[in-house]
This record gives sequence, structure tokens and C-alpha cells, in this order.
Amino acid sequence: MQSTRRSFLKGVGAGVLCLTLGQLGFDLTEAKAYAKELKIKGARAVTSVCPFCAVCCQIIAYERNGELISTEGDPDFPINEGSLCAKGASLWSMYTNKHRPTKPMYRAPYSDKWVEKDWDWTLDRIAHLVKEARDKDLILKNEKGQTVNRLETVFWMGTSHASNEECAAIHQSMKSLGIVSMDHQARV
Amino acid sequence: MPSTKTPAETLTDIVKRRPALRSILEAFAPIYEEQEKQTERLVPVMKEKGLSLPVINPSRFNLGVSLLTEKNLPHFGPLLSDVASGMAAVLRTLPQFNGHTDGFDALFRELSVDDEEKLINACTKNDPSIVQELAKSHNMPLPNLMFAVEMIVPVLFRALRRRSLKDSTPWDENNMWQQGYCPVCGSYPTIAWLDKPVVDERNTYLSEGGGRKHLHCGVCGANWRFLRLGCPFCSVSKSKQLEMFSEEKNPYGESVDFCSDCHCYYPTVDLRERTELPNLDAQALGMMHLDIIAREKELTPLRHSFWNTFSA
Repeated sequence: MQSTRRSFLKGVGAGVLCLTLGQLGFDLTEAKAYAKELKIKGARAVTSVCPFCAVCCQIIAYERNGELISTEGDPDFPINEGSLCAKGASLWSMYTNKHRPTKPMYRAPYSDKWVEKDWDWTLDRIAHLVKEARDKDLILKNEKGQTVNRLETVFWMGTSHASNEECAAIHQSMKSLGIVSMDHQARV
Repeated sequence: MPSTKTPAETLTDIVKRRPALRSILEAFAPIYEEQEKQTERLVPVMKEKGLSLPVINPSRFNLGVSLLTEKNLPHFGPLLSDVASGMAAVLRTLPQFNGHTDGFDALFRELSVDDEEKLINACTKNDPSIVQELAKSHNMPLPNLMFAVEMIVPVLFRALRRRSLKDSTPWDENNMWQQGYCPVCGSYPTIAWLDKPVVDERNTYLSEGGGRKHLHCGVCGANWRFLRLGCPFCSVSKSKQLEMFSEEKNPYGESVDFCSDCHCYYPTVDLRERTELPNLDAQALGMMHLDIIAREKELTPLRHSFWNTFSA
């Protein structure tokens, strides 16, 4: 049955066989003129994954000429069934908001100005500050003389953009530095 | 999702927004209303005659076999000519029938079981060639007969479905039916619709939701869930395959979805923002301006109908 319908649809010009509105005696001039005047907008649907947390809700993103024009939850994805949290629902603005920083911004101590920096400078700066703090503040032993290797002056704030596996890797690397104060943006 | 508006109310709403379609939509309002009236009238008659849909067989369903196939089509007998004479009164108002429908009145009255099967198959398969011989032997233009078939046969199928299932959709449970054609009669859909969100009391912090795609059969009136980004014709769902277009200003949730692989299209109406639910058969006709644009883009309708076929 299926192959018959398919071959029919593909192979036969149904215009020859179906009664058209024109053949029914209707004048289509006005309807066609109306359709011709209409401004049409199109889009292509692309599936993607919300980048905010490890739940990884699926979204449908609509793009036109390479531009993202809207996003919504994918109703067919079994985890979110079309629903999104407030952050996921505002995904479109995360990509399109002009106030969103797209490069590292640095404000020096006591300065009131933000300065754009490149990633090499930024990562070097972070590494130096972490090392400086660790060299200065690492507590090797507690009051009882027990080895603790504890760094209490650095705090790590995780992000819900990280997956479970990334969070585990970050946690281990922070522990290796002696950092004990850690939390996660998804919790607060 | 049962509609809250009658076909005539739906078409009136659309005419208000698109006066350019007035002459066409107003001419079809009485025909669609008569179809609805005849369907309601037939529901108890079907029950009385013991006509009903076969019970769902999940294993056949999983293989993509619709409830009604060529092997188990119901025999409507006199009900078919009964509906034909009821519909004739409104069909003859169309200019093409020029005030009389005697030809097809007689044809439907004298039908053999074989010919009845042919008419039903022509409608569900959307294939006029099945009734080519019948049209010839009754000296009737094939397009006229096909049009009459598409107006009359759906009444019987809709009554049969309503008598058996009312508006329930048992095939949506456990995604039992995953095909792009109708689980009841095997026809390709005339329109798709996106449903409203279902509020989950346990997860009220989640926003939106809804937007599940359902396909609507213009023959038996069944609705069934389908993948939002899938193509009913290719039966494939993948990223970047589904494209759509709509009016730039005031689209009213109405668009045309099409597959970039096979270039088949179907109108889609988003019901998430609507408080009143339109009659979907009337809604499909009311979106014919988008059909005109789709055909200009050389897209092929999933199901050919008189309102989406423009070449003579």
C-alpha cells in the first residue's frame, strides 16, 4: 500500500486528475494576487542541546540565512518533553544579546574601567594569581601537626555549562591544589 | 484535540483575516457543514448496523498496518448512496455541477460491492486512476467523480471512527503508531497541528512545553502524534531536514512545513496560542494561500486536494 501511494505521489501529476478550484468554476485571480503580495519568512529547524546544565535538554533551534531566530524545547525528547527551565527558555537571548561579553574583560585593582584582553593573557593571569595565593597561603599541617595541604584563600565556583564528567575533572584538579571551598552555580 | 469551532465558524474567522479568499471559503462552508451534519446523523446508524472499526492489533500496528486495509474495508452498502443524496443538495450549488448532480446520484445508487471498494480506495489512496473506468462507464468527467468521492466517502469514515472511538487516540499510547499515514484508513494527512502545553503540577518551575506535532486525516478525521521534525512522507526525522515558511506579518501560527529531502509539504497550525480550536478540515482549506506559494516553490502536497491543485 505504502509503495503504491509513494509511486503515485511521485510519478503522477495529480493536477490532471484532481478537480481543481478553477475547474470547479472559481476565479482564483484574487487569491493568487493575495498570495503573490504576501511577504514570506522561512526557517530551517535544527536540533541542539541546551548548554546550561548536565540534564542536557534538547532544543529545536530555528535558523534563517545562518542566523539563529528562535529556540524552543523539543517536545519529542524524552527528558524535557518540550519544557525548559528559565535559563533554557532564554537561550535565544544568550546568543543574540548585545550585552553578552564575547571576549575576556579585565578590570585592574582600584580601576573603574573594563579592558578587553585576549585569552593567553587571561589564562596566564589566572594561573599566576592561583600560584601566588597557593605559595603564600597553603596550609601544610593543622594545629595537631597532621598533614592537611589545605588552601583556604581560593574559592572555586563551578558552572552548569559543565557536564558531569567535566565537573568531576575540575573537582579533582581543584583538590590537587588543596582548594576546599567549592560550589556550583546550578545549586545557588 | 476536538475542535471547539464548527467548519462554518472556522471559515468565517479566516475570511475576516483574509477577505481575498471570501468567495471560495464561503462557497465551501455549507458543504463542510453538511458533511458534519451527515456524520453526526450516521454515528447511531453505524451502531445500529453493527459497523465498527477492527480492534487494534499492536503487532500489526507496529509494522505500520492501518486498521482498515484493502482486505478488511467495511461494506457500507445503502449508507453510501444515502450520504451521496444528502450531499448532492449542497454539491450542486457549485458552479461546476451547474445545478444538477444526477450523474453521480445514479452512480452511487447502483454501486456493486466492487465499485464501492474502488470508490473507497480512490479516496483513501488519493488515486483517481482507480475510478477511471467507473467514471467512463457512467459518462462522468473523472475530476468530477473524484471530487464527489472526496466529499462523500469521508463522511462514512468519520462516522465509523466516531462510533468506534469518539475522539480518543489509543494509537498515541506508548507511541504505538509512528507512521506518517493515518492509523485508521491509511490516508496521508491534510494538515498538522501543534498542541498546547500539558501543565505538570510536579514541575511547575518548568516553562512552556507543548508543541507536540499531530497529523490530521482529512478522510476519517483521526489525529495521531508524529515526530516534530520528521517528514511523514520519508518517515525520517533528522536535524536540518524540516523547513517552513509563513506570512511575515500576522502568521496566526499558520505555516507550511516541508521536507528539504523529498520536497513534500503540508500546512501546519500552531494551537498553543489559541483559545478556540478550529475545525481542522476547514482550517486546511483556509490556508490555501500558502498552498499557492508552496506550489510556486515546486513543493508537492502530501495529499492532493482540490484546493492545493492548481494546474488544469
